[in-house]
Amino acid sequence: MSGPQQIQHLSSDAVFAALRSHQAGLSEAEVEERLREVGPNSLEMADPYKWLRNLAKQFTNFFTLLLIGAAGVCFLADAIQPGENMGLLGGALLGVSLLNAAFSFFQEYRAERAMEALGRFLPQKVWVRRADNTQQILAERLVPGDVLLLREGDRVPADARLVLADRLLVNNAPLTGESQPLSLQAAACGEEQGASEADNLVFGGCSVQRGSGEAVVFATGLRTEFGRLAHLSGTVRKDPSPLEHATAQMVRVLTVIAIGMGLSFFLYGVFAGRSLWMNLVFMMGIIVANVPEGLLPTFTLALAMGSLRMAKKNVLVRRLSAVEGLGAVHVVCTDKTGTLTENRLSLTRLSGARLEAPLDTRRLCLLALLASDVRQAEDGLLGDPLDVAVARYAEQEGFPPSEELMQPTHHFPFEVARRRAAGVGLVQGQRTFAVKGAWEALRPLLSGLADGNACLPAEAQALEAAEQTLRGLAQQGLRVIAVASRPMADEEEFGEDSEPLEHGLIFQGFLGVEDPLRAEVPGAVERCRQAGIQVIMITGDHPDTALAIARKAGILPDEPGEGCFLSGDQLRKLRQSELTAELERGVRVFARTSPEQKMQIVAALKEMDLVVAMTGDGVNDAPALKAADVGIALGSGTDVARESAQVVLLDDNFASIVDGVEEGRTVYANIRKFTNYVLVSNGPEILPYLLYILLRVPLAMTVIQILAIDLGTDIIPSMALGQEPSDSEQMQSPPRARGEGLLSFRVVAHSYFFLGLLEAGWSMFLFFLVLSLGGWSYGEIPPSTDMVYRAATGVALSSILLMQIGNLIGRRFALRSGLDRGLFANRLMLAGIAIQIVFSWGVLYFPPLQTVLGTAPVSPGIYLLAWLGIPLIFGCDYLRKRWRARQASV
Amino acid sequence: MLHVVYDGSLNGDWICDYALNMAAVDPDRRLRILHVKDGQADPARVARRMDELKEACERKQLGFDPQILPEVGGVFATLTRHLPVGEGHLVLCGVRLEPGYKGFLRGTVSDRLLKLGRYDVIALRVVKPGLLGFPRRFLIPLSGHPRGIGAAWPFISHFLPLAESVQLLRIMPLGRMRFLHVSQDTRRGLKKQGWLYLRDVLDDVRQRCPDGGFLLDGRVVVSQDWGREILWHADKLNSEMIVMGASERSLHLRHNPIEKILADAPCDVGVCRGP
Repeated sequence: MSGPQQIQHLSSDAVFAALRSHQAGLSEAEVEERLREVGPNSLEMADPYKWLRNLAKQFTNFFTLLLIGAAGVCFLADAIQPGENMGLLGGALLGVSLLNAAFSFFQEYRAERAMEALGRFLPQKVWVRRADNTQQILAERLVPGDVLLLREGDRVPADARLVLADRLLVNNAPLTGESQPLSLQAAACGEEQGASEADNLVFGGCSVQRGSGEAVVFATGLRTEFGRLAHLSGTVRKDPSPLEHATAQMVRVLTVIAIGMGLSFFLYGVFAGRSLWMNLVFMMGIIVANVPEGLLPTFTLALAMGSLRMAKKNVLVRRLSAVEGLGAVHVVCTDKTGTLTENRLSLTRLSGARLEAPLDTRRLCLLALLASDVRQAEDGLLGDPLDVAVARYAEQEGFPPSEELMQPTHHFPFEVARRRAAGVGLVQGQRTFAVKGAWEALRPLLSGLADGNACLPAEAQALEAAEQTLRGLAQQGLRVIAVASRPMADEEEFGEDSEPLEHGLIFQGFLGVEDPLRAEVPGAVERCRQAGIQVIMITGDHPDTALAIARKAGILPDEPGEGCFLSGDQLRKLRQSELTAELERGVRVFARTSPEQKMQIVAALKEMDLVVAMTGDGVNDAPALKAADVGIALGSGTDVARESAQVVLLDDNFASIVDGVEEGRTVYANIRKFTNYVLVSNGPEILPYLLYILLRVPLAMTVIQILAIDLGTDIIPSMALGQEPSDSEQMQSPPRARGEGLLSFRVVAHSYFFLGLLEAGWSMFLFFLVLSLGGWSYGEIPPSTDMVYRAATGVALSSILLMQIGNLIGRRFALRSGLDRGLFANRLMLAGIAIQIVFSWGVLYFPPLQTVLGTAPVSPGIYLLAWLGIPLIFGCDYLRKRWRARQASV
Repeated sequence: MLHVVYDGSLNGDWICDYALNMAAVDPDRRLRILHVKDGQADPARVARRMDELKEACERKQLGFDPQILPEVGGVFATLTRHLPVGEGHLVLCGVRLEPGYKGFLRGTVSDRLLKLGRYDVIALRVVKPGLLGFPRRFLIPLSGHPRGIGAAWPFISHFLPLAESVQLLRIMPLGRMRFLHVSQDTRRGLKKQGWLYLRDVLDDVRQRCPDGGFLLDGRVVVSQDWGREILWHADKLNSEMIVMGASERSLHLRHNPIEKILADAPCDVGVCRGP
């Protein structure tokens, strides 16, 4: 195929024909037709049921469904036999399930706010020409083919092809991340230029910094480049987070146990000839006893408390699952500038083409300043950080830039595609044209290289020597800028484009700009290494600079082998599988990359089943932040990045990420601790129901009493375990595998069959002791109003509450007693213990509690026996720990 | 040979951009335009467009065969009488201009041509006219059909000589409940299964187009909503066109995700089916 291919390749006249438009603009009828066809110029996808669907989605969690099912059974039981408080119980269960769903819904709603932040980049109203009339319309009503009128200060509402441009300078930072403005024109581009390189296209979301122009719209709404960014940043399309995986696994296991036990014993009851009512109560009890109702809210509380601790370490968490998500990361992909380095540019080295050649540093600085755009403001120098660094160096060296130099005759702004800026002005009394930019961009324009007072022709040998110098500087971690110039005759004229002036240039020297590594970074990288976390650096800088910084930070060894880095160009040509292979081979540095490529790297890492954290600050980083398991926005970044990320790094410091990882790991370890703690009380809650159905004995624990433990007394102790400080060995072990669950066979066996059985045994012993002392004989089922029965259930409940104290202390460590850390180190734990003690007394001796829970008092001697449960459970568990520790050492 | 069903609409004009580019590399180098006079389009506008197309064909040195057909027994019946059956013929048609509650495709002539299963048909929705009918980055979702890329091939083979990338996307669908609760091992198993299929399709494309200068890549994802997944990947991969196959079954689905893709796609979409 030959000839023009895409809109940027057409001449201005042909643009109108291609888009079926006219210089006078579209007619109203044409606009209406196009509006119907492509829809409004809006970032919102038409989905009227979105919120309803999102809300409904929250009820598909197994736990929620189980609680709703249990509530349904309660209401049914209440309808069959009123007056047993089953309706109240149903209401309580329904309330818990609704709370869980509402909380998750709110979390998701927050995630949608990235779209709102993006929406602020688009204007409300725009000027267009329609039917030969200039008019202001709502940006939403813009269609392909509309003639858009742009002027200084405007935000561009859609993607459009310029047909007229007058000194037009646009800022494409929202799309490219490049803060330097771009000079645009209306002429056709070369066929090899894609849309992203074309200098005759304006894109939605960008802004006009200077000049004016006319453009024909060719894409609107979500079909614009900005719309694409918005869709990727705003769409909630996440794989379940590591914690969601873990809880899903736990919920699955517990649901299977609850429903399996409930149904099988329901059937047993049916065949044993028990009444439907008793069977229903029994099944309900089994299900309620098996479901740790308070666990999910406690998860949330633990994560919320973790997020508060993280905030103190400058890690602000915007989505609670990210608290633990950070602890699960296998890879941290980090920017260089500002995160690993201080983002404080300073000019530290100046060099000629050869390091040893004499250099007129004053002249080199002045030429660099001529090609800069820096102004003296009241509170200091203003402009691009690099330009400011040059001006500051000049001041320090005693040749402060003159006013004329600060305001050159003409400044040609930096162009991303050309990778250089230029200026015309007076330097040391001579009218001069100076260019400053990447060496690769300047090299083809050179006709000579200054060497002391001499000038060498730009031949291979001299150019190679300059390149060696450049590499040497870059290998020291310096960002290297090349400067070239040529004298201009007074009568020589020039236009808006610097290209006609770019001939006969003499290379003047290199500027080595340093952005120092943050002092705490090498230590933080080392901590990551010890914790089995890979650190990958992604930067737009020169590979040599990137490699030098990576070596200094410890991301790469001092003598990195081949293939430890990839450039953006290489990355562009790789298939995902090839990129995965490169990462497996050990690529740790990506240099000269665009923000868009971050997403490619995230996808490849996730394909390797790794949990990925990614940092970013620009609008165009938002999709990558969204795609990563944990998106980390820099505090100094854009609103859009912050809204898209789950975590905001308040001090932009890489070391804070590592602190966050440690905190995340601590939170997960604590979640395991209190899950283990909570499951222990399931044993004494289930056993009474099993005995009730299998033997002719009274029910030792009612459903309300179970809920009093699960939703009442266990909550504060669980939160106390969630507050436990970090262990020193937390960052010494590798991260857990993606998909690893919270419940292992060992945890289930330890909770149900060891500690659970101990609690169940002791509480049932006291239950039958009180019954026996009250004259009960086997086979007799006392009514629920019988005072002896009420005292017996009361002491069973009281003993469980007290034994949970021993369980609580033991859960602090896997192999240590738990007392060695000291109870006063965790005040919430003291509160938890106090609550258990007060309630153990209250259920027996406090009349309002007796009424609600259906209990009655026992003699002080029996109550003292209940206290014996604490040393019993703590001691047995400690003996088990000692045995396990000995086994481990053997 | 390329046969364009032209309805006189703006979308029809943009489809003609595609047809012109395709005819330029088609072995027949001939473009046949069929317009049924059903009274919906302004005849003067149709005549003007035909003149423009004729000029464009002359510029590209293509044969041009306009057919303005009187409606006999409805548009669909008229078209089927004039469309040849057999290999080497590809029918390009459009979708509904205003979807309303019916959707873009359901019940249209294109829908009926696709369901008929007699021709190689592609129904196009053009939302990025700035591409001028020349997409270079393709996303081809695969449902796991044994025919692989066969349905899309008659269409995309016209663009491959100058294509930049062709991305194949195999989506392993899971119900929402299963998606949330399925274990990591099951996910891995599904992905592995997807890759087995995808590798065969990738090999097939390489065999069909051994000298392709484009980047050919594939990915497998486990998803609870394949429609949204396609849209998301189209954005992520910066695709300029989604080419998706349709089956007899999918075309009859009441809540067809194809409609969602046609409505919300960030780029042009082609829905195709072969005989």
